[in-house]
Amino acid sequence: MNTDAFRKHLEESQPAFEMWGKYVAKKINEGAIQKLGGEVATMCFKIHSPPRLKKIDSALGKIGRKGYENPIAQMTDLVGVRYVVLLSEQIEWVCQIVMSEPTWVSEVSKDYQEEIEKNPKIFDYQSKHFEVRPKSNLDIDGILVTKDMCCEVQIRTLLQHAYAELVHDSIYKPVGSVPPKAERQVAKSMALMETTDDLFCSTMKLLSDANKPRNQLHEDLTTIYREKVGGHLLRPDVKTSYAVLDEFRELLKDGLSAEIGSYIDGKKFISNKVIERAQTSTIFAQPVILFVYWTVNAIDPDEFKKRWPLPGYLRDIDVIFSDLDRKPSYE
Amino acid sequence: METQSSPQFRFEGLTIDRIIVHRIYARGLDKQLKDPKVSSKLIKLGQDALDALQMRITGALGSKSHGLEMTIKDVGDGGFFQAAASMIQAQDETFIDLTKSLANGLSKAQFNTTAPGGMLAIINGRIGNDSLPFVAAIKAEPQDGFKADEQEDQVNMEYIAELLLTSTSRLYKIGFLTEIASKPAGAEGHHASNYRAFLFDHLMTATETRSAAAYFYRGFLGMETQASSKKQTQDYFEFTRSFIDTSPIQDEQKIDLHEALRSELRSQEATISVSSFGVKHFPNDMRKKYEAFMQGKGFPQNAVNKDTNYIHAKLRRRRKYTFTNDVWISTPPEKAENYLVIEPADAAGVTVVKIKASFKGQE
Repeated sequence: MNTDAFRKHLEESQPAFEMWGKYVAKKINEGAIQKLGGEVATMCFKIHSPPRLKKIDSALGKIGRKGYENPIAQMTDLVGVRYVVLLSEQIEWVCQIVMSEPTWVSEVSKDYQEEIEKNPKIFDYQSKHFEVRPKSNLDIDGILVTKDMCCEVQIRTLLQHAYAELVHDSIYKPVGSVPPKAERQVAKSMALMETTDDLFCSTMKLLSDANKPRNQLHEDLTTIYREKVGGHLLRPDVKTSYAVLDEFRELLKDGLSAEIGSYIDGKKFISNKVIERAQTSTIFAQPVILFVYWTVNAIDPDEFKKRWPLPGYLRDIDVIFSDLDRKPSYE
Repeated sequence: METQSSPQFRFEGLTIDRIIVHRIYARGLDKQLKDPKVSSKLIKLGQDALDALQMRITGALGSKSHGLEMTIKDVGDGGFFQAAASMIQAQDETFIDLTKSLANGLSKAQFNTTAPGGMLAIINGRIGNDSLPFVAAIKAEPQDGFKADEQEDQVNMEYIAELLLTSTSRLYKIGFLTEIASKPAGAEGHHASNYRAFLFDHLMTATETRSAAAYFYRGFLGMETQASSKKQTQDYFEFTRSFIDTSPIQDEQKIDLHEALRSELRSQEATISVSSFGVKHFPNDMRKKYEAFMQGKGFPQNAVNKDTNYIHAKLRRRRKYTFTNDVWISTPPEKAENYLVIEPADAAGVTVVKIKASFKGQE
C-alpha cells in the first residue's frame, strides 16, 4: 500500500475509529459508576479528556518511520483514551473495569510495574496501557467497527501524568540535543514522584483507618434508609453526613447501626416523617437523618442544639425536636 | 375521691391529617352575638406549614411546656367533648359540620367576655407511637407584623395587619382531645374515660388571670383542672425534696434549694413544672439529673396545676429570731418552739437562749 492508499484508507476509517474510541470511553465510565458509585467515580477521574484520534499526517509519518505493512491493524494508537487518577492504587480499579468488559478483548501493552520489577534501578515513564479491540465486528449506530481496530487505553496518576507531559514534549520528541544532566534530572523527578505517591497512598490509608467507624456507619445508615424509608428518596451528600457524624463522633460505637435500626423500628412514625419531608428538605434525604433522630433522643436537647454543626438546617432540627417531643431548656 | 395519676403522655409523632378554619368575632358594641364565619372546606397546607403547625402544638403542650392535662367535665350533647370525640372517626362532611358547631360554641362561650375575635382552627390527626387519633381546637388571635420583600438591590417591608399563629404563645389557646381506647359511643354518647384532654392557655399560668381563661377551657371546652392536682403538687414537692437531699452538694446549698422550692410553691404562679424549676435553680448538670429523676418517678414533663392543699404546713418559711444587736437565729418552719427556748432579757440586756441541740458548725 502506498502513501496515498494509506491516506485514503485512514480517511475512510476515521469515523469508525472515532466511534470505537467513544464506545470504549462510554463503557469504562459506565463500569466506573457501577463499580464505585457515581460520586466516587466522578472524584476518581481527575482529568476528563475525550477520545483522541491520531492526526492523519502524524499517522502517515509514523507509518513511514516504522515501515508498517498493515497500519490499520499494526498501529495501536490511531485512537486513544486516557484516564488520570490521583493514586497509584486507583489505577488498579480502572484496570479491573477494562479487563472485565465482555464486548472487547483487552491486552496489556505497557505495564510499568512489570518494568520496574525488571529494571529496579531505572526511573522512567510510568503508565499502564491496554490495547482494546472488539471481540467481534461491531455495528455501533450504523458504523462498522471491525475486530482488528485498536483503541489504546492509558491509565496513570496525576504525578505520572505531569512527568509524561514534560518528557513527552521535551525528551521523546527532542527539539534539539538532550544533555545528560537533563536526563538525570527527569529520572530524579520520577523517583520523587514515586516516593510522593507512596506517601499519598499511606496517608490515605491512615485517614481511612481513622474514619473507618464513621464511614462504615454511614454505609450502614444508607442501607437502613433504603430499607425503612426508600432508596428513591435518597439524595446523598456525603459532606453533610460526615459533618454530623464527625461532630458527634464520641457516640459512635460497635453495634450502633443495629441500635439505630431498632430505634427506627420502635418509633414507627419516624420513617413516615422522613418520607413526608425528603422531597422538600435536603437533610431528610440524607442517610444521616436517622442518626440525627437517634441522637436527638439520646442526648440532652440543649447540648444537641449547641453542638449541631449545620446552621442551615436549624429549623429542620426544631421540627425533629417536635416529632420526638424534645425541647431545649434554655431558649 | 383521689384520681390515680395517669401514665406520662408524650406529644411525639404528631401528624396532621385534616384542618379547617373558621372565624370568630368579638362581641360588638351593640352587645349582640355575631355568628362566626364558617368554612365549608378543609384546607390544604404545604409540608413547611404543616411542620410549623405541628411545632405550635407540641411547643404549647409537649415536654417542658406550660400545657396542662385537664379533666373532661362537660360530657353533654352539644358540648365540645361529644362533638370532638365524634369527629375522630367522621367522614369529611360530618367532620366539617361538627367543626361548625364548635365555632358556634366558642362564639357563645366568649359572648359574655371581652375576649378578642380570631380564627378557630380545628385539626384532626394522629399522635404517639400508637398513632392515637386526636382533635385539637386552636383559637388564634391576630397580631400585626411585617414581611420582608427582597428585590435585587433593595429589601422592603410589607405590613401585614393580621398575622396568625406566630410563635408568640400569648396569642393562641389550644384544647386537645385524644382517644386512648377506641370504643363506640353508647347511649350516653362517648365516654370520657376513653380520652385524655390537654390545654394550653397562657392565662392559666398565673392565679390572677385564671378567671379570664375560664370562657375557653370551661365554657367552650367543658374541661376542669385535674382533681389529682393536690396529689401531683404534693408529689412534686416530695420528689424534688428527696432529689435535693440526695444530691452531692453542700448543706448550705441544700437549705437554699429547699427554700427555693417552698417559695416556688407559695408564689402566685398557678402552675408548676419540672423544667422551669430546674432551669431557675439548678446548674446545668444537676438540672439534667433532676429532669431524669422526675421522669423516672413518672411526673409529667409538661406543667401541672398547682394546688398546695396537702402540703400547706410544709411550705411555711423558716423562722427568724432577731436581737437588738443584729444577731439572728433561724429555725426550720416545723415545730419551731421545740427547737429552742428564749428566756426574757435580764437587767443588763443579756438574753439566754437554750437550743435543744449540740453545736455543729459555723458558716
